[in-house]
Amino acid sequence: MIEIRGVSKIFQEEKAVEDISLTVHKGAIYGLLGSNGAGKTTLLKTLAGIYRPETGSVKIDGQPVFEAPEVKRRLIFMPDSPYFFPQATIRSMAAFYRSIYPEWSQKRYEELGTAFRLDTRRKLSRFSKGMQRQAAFWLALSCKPDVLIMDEPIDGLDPVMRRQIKNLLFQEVAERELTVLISSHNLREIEDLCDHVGIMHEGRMLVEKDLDDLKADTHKIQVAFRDERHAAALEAKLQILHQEQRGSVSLYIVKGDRERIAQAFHVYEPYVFDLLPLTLEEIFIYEMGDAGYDAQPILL
Amino acid sequence: MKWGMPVMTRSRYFFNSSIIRQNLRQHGWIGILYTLVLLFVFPLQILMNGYRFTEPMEIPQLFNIGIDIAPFLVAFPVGAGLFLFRYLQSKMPSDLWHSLPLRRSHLLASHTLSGLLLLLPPVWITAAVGAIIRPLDGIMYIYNAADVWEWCLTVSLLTLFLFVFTVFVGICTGQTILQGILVFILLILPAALLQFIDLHLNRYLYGYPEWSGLQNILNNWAPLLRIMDLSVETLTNVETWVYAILSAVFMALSFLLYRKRHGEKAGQALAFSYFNPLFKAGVMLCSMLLASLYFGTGRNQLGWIIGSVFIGGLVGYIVVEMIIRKTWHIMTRRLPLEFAVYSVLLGLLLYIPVSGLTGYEDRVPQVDKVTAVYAGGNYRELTQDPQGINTWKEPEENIYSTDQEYIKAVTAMHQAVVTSRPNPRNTPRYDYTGTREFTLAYKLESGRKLVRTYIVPAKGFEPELKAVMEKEDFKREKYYLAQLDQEMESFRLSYLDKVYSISEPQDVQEFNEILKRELLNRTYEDQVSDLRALASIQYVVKQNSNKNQIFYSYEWYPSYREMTAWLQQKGYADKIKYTAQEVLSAEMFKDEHQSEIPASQMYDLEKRLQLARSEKRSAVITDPTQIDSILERQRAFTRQGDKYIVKIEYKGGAINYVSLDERDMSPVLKALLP
Repeated sequence: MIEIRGVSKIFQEEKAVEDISLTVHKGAIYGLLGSNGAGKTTLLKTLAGIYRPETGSVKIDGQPVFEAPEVKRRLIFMPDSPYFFPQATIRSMAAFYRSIYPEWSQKRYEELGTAFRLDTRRKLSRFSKGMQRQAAFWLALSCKPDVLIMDEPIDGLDPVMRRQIKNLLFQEVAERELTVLISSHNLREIEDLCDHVGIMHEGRMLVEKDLDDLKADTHKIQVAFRDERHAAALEAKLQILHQEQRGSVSLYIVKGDRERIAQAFHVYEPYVFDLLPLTLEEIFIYEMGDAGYDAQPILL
Repeated sequence: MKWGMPVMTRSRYFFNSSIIRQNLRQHGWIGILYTLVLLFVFPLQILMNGYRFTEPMEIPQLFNIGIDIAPFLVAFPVGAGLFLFRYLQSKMPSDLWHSLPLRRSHLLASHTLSGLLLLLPPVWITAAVGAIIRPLDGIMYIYNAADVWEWCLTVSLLTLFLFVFTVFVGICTGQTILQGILVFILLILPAALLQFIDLHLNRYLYGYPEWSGLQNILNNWAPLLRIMDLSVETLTNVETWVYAILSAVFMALSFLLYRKRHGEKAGQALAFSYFNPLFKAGVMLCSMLLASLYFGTGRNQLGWIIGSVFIGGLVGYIVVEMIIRKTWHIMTRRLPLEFAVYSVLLGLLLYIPVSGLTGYEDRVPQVDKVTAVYAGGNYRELTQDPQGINTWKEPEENIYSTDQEYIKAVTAMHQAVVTSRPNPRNTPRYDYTGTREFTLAYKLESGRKLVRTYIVPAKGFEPELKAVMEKEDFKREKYYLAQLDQEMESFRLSYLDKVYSISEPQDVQEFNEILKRELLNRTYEDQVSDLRALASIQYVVKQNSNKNQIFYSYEWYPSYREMTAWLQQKGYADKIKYTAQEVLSAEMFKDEHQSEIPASQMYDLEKRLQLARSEKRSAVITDPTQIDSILERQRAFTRQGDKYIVKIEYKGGAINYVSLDERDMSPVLKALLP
C-alpha cells in the first residue's frame, strides 16, 4: 500500500530525513513516534506529496505521489495545526473540498455533523484549536480518503473527543480499510490506536514494530535461581532482549510464547519466579536500549 | 474505484474553477478597488474637470488628464501578485495547497487566471465607461475612440506584464516582503545598472563620451520609469510587442521554475539556491559601483577609489548574506574566502573595461579608415533630443563631414590628445577661453562608429585646435548654420536694457547672409577670444504649422567687421550701443588681493571694488573717449587675477562689470590708477 524506499530530504544542507524505508499495509494504523525535530513532519509531508524527496521513492499502490493528482485525491494530509482559508467557515471549506476531491461524500459529511456538533456557519478562525482540529477531521473524513496522514492529531483534544475520533478512525478502518499514519511525540497518546509503530530519531528510523506481536510476545521475568549455572543454561534456550542483575534477582525481557517460557523456567525450580506483561513503553525502552539509544528523551 | 484511474472532474481542466472562486472570494476587494481607482483616474476625471464655459480641449492621449495613473498601475498588479501568491511564501497555506490533488501547473494557472480576473475587467470596465461618456455634452476634453483603445490596450498590457512579473519573482523567492522589494528593484535595475556602468566608464575611462546616448533610452529599460513617462509618451508599437513578449516569457519561466521549486522553500529568501551566486554578485556589483561613484567623486587617488570599491563590496556582501541566511550572525570560516573570490572577480569585471588592456583609450582611427567625422562640443544637442526641447533638428546624417582635410585635422588632434592625455581635472572645465570640450565622432569604413569626448586645453594644443576649428565643416556645426537656412521673420538686437527689432524682409535677408559669412570667417584666435559680444542677436523664425514660436540666438562680436559696418550704415548699431553720454559713472580697479575676500564671496565684484576702494586702488574714469574705448573692448569676466575690472553704471540704472586685459589698457587709463 504505502511504500517509502530510501527517502532522504535535505533542508539548508542539513538532512532532515535520512534514508528511510517504510511499508504500511492497507487498513493499518501506523504510528510514527519521535521527539521534536526527529523528521516526522518532513517524512509525512513527503508522503503527502508536498515535498519532493531528494533521493528514494514514495509510492502508494505502486505509484509515485509527488505531482500525481490521481494518487493525491485519495489521500488527505492533516497538518499539526489546522489551516483554513482566511474568513472560511466549515460550510465554505466543505464546498471547496467537495469541488477538489471527487470522492467527497455529502452523506458522510452530514452524518458526521451529528457527531461533531460544530456551527458550520461560524468563521473557523474564531474556533478554539480543539474545535478547529475537529473541523479538520470532519472535513478530512468527508473526503473519504483511502489514506489519512495526521501530524500530531491528538494535541488539544479533550478525552471525550479523543475517544470519539478514535472510534471514528477504527470504524473507517474496519469498514473501508482506511490506512492511517499518525505522528506523535508521545507513545502513550497513540499506543491504543496503532497497530504498527516506528520510532524516528535525528532523521533516521530506529525501530519499527508490529504492536500486536510485541504485546503478545514480550514478557518481563523476575527470577532468583538456585544455582548461577541455571541462568547460563536457560539463556541459551530463550530469545532474551534484555537482561539485568539486581542482587540475587535477575530481570529478563524475553520474547516468545508465554507458556513455553514459564515451562522453561520451572524446570530449574527458581526461588522466585514472576512473569509480567510489558507496557508498550517498556518494550520500546528495552528495544532501543539494545540499539544503543536512551529511549527516555526520545519518546517521553 | 481503482487507484490511479483518471477521474473526470473539474480539476481535470487546466484552470480549476474552485480555486478561482476561492481566490475571488478571498481577494475580490483588489478588483473592486482597482475599478474604483481607474474610474477616478480616467472617466470621472474627464467628467469633473474643466470649466463649463471654456472651449473643450483636444488631448493627444488619455494618460495626462489630471491624476497620474502610474502609481496605481504599478501598485495594483504588483499587490495582486503578492496577495494571490502568498500561498507560496507562507508555510501553512503552502502545505494546504500543495497537498491538494492538483498539479503545480494547475495551481499556477488557476492563481494567475484569478489575478487576471481581478485586474483586467476593471481596466475594460473603465475603458468602456470612457468610451460611453465620450460623445456626451459638456465633456471638456475631446478624444477619439482610438485614444480609448490605446488606453485600454496599454493599461491591460502593463497590468498583465506587472502581474506576471510579480508572479515570476514570487516563484523565485520565498518571502512576500522580499518578493515585493525585488519586484521594484528589478523593475528599475536594468536602467540603474546601465546608468552606473555609464558613469563608471565616464569617470575612469579616458575619452569615454560624455554623452554616450545611453541616458536617452535609460527609462525604456526600466518598466517602472517607463510607466511614469506614459503621460509624456505612450507606448510605441515596438514597446507594446516587447511587453507582450516579456509577459509570455515570464509566464513560461514561472511554469518551468515552479515545477522545480521545493515546497519547503516557503520562508526562505530565494527559492532556488543556484540563484544565490547571481543574487550575491548582482547586489555586490551595484553597491561597489555606487560606492565608487559616491566616494570617488572629487577624489581621484587610486587608494581612495580601491578603498571605496572594497567597502562597497563588503557592505553589499554582508547585506546579501544576511538576507539569504535570514540572520545577522553570518560569520563562518568559509565566509572570508568566499568574499575574497567574489571581490576579486567583480573587481576585475570593473577594472578590465577601464584599464588600458582593451586599447580603448589609445585608439585613434587611421585617416583612410574614416569615412566621415564630426568634432565639436554640441554633439548631444545635435544628435539627441530626449526631452523634446529642440524644436528644430538637423538630421544626424548631416552633422558629419567627409572632407579629407578635416578628417586629417581631427585625427591629428585626437592623436595629440591621446598621446599627452591632458588631465581634465587640472583645467577648469567651464573656463571657455582655456579649455574646450570636444566630442569626436567617426564613421568608420567598417560601418562602425567611434565616439570619444575630451577636454582639450588651449594651451599646448594651439596648432591642432586651430587646424580643426578653422575648418568650415567645424564652424557649420558649431554655429548651427543649417538652422539659419530657415525663413526668418525678424531679428532682435539686445544689449543690457536696450532692445531693437528689425523685421524689414530685405534687412533680415541681408543680415542673415552677413551673419553666415561672419561665422564661417571666424579665425581660431577670434573663436577663443574672451572679448564680449557687442549685442546678442535673436532670430524669430517664421511660424510653422505647429504654431510654435522658435527663436535662435547668436552674438555680434567686435571682430565681425562686415556686420558692424552694415549695422552702422543702417543706423541700427546706434540704437543698441551705449556711448559715454549714457554712462553715469565708471570706476576701475586692478583685481588683486583676492585672498582677503572670503571664498564664499569670490564672485561678489562689489565686495572687491569696496576692498580696492578702501585700499585706495580704484579710480573713477570721467573722460568720455576713455569710456567709449572701454565699452568697445569688454572681456568676459574670469577668475584669473591680473585683470582690470570696471564697474559701469548707466543712466538707465543698469550696472555692468567689465573686465580688461593688460593689452586693453591705454597709457591714459593706466595713469589713472595709483
